[in-house]
Amino acid sequence: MKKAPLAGVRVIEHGQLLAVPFAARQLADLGAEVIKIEAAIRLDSHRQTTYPDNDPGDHFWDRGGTYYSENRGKLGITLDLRNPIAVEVAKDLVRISDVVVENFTTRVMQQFGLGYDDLVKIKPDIIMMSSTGYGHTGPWKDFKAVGPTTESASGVAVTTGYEGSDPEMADIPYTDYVAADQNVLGVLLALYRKKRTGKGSEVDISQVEAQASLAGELYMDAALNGVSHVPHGNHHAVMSPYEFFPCTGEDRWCAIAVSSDEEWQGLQSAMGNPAWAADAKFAHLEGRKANEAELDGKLAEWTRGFDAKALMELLQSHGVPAGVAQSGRDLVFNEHLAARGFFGWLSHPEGTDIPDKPYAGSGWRFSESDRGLRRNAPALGEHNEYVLRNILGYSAEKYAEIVASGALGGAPEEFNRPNPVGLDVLLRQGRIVAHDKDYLEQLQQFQDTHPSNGSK
Amino acid sequence: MNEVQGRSDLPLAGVRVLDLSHYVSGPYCTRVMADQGADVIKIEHPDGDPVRLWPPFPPGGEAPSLLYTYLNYDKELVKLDISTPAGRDRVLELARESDVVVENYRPGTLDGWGIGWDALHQANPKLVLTSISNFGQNGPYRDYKAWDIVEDALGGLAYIHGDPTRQPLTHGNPQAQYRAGVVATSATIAALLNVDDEGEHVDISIMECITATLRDTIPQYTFMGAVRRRGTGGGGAITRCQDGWVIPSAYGADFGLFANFLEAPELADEKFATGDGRQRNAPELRAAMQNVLTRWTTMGFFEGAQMWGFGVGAVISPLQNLDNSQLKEREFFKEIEVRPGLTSPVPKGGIRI
Repeated sequence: MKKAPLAGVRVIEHGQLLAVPFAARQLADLGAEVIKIEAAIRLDSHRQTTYPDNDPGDHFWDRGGTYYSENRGKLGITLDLRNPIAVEVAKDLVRISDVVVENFTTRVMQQFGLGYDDLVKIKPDIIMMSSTGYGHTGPWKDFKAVGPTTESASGVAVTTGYEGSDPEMADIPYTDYVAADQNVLGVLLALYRKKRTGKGSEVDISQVEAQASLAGELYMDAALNGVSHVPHGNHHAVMSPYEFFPCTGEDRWCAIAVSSDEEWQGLQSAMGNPAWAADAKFAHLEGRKANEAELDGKLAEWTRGFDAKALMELLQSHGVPAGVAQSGRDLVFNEHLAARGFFGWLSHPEGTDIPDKPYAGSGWRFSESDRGLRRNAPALGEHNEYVLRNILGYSAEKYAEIVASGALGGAPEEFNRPNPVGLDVLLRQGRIVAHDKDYLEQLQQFQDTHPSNGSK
Repeated sequence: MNEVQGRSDLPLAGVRVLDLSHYVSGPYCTRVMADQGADVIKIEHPDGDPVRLWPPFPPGGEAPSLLYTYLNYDKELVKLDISTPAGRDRVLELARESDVVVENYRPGTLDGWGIGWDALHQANPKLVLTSISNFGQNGPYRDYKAWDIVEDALGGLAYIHGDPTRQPLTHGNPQAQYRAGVVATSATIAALLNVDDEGEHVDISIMECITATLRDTIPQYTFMGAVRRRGTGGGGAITRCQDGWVIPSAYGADFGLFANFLEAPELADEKFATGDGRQRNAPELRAAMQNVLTRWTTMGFFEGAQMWGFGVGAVISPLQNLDNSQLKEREFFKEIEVRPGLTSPVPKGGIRI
């Protein structure tokens, strides 16, 4: 086994929400030592959602499930950067680090005296990655952005949605993740360049540009053919059928994507070769495209009687690309992911009273390096003393002075205890499909029968 | 940041990449590497990468497709059937001179041709082999077939994308494959940073790239036992305007000021003044907002509201973005040759170093 790819690399994170925290989490998965800097007086809203059994408890800021899922593997400290002593601590951390990542709006780090121009003075080969909605330069540099608004501005959202209807974006900030993946890539490219040339760099990533880059063909189509894109449903230009089909049970669907006449023959045989499917008009792609509504309708009549998973297995056994639309519940109990050990069980910080849980891995595996689920996310300020004393080497007296100065900020007691809507209410309103009261037992039972699914 | 830097200053200058991939995920991975300075040799089957025939096409309708051109410009092209013994020998020879091989055949295919991990590793111990596949190199779905819609389905994104009363949705272009290409590039560079005497085999599952990025979808179950329903959050209120769609939701605390900006006295009503009031009168507000927005264009609304400090959004089409002042100022597009005598703007990529 090799060491982890980023072993020995230290990363300072000034991140919030998703695009940078999730990127830094991936760097931690790759073996970097990530120190997450938070402000106790401005809680990350991911600390304020998805509580165990929907119960915020007393220290609600240490009970957010979404926070744990996006921040594992890091050390955590609190700094109130309005305090000049805190800024000095932040600078001392830069002196002994390789990378700083941040996603404040453009001017914020500069206002704290922590902009790239400030940092190169104290650490000339520092790599600083800034992730903003629209980029660090240009007339929109100060525009406010969140995941959905950068997705919508990227040129991708306008193609997505039911045919003839308004665009539809997913219920997660999709483009935050597209940007997070490129934030990771930007840091790795800068590290590789530094290894080769010894030079640090400033990495400027615009979420809109990150997303628009994953749509080059749409931009060329607009430029060369004057096409103004609109939502076109699930259909595909060179595959048919290409759609979700209904199955038995509430909100159960199976995707079917036929990319060749051979796969169409496989689908016919899976259906038991019904007479309607033998019609010559469906034999080739052109005919299937020309009669797609009829084809989708006929297929839906057939799929409706199937369990989605059984249908997927039947179709795949006939060489037809097909897959169940899986929910969060389906994913944690998925046999394929379990066999690949995709989830790993992690414990939670002392005092949070949260039982061990499975967490999703990252999208990569290495034959020689470990996969990186090392420890869970830190409680707020959990590593203040460790980082300042053991990593920065401050004396006990100096540490005490810093605490007394208020530079670390207090506990976030000025926030009101949240009062989430009850799961029974959400279920009644239809905002959740199901609520498994015995989910902990189910997770444990699945783990006991699938030991490959990461270690506890 | 430095636009005039030489190629040797680019992060991946001097890295040699042998690209055995086709379709979207692998070619986008090597697209990014080429943009960042690597020398990429793309091996293409004599019959051509199938994506050459995926619409849209340039004016006149002739292949190769725009997607093929976008993914593969600036790569050295070698036509070769790598399933033959002669093809195998050529691949092994090229692999000896490469730092990275990228492939996205179905798992086991390269082994069958004598150019799998064992053979490549033997030919060049320091080599990094990056294999991208639908479901990864092992596990019960290893041999399952998939395209984007199937990836989005099994990965968990489709279930939370769309109208709760209708079928799930997939993206309008091959996002799942593109994104796996980005993750594959990161993993490849991480492996390159870690090459000592031995390279390694990187295994990218497109499904897992999606499952890894679902925010609260999995914690909602593992923390509360809840299964979220599609269409119940995120997205923002996409509303029609004069020439497209905008997202008038992130107006912050001062709704009266927002009504002022919109020049819409009908919104400056008491009943919409507080968050509570807006929630109580949501259908009425939506109808009124819809009516007001028909007086606004996409860009007029978006740029205007942002200037006033409102973090609103707009659905901007690629055609509109070609003229977007922000992207122009940042020189986001560059011209490439599509065929002799015809050039097109393309995105330069999301990363500026």
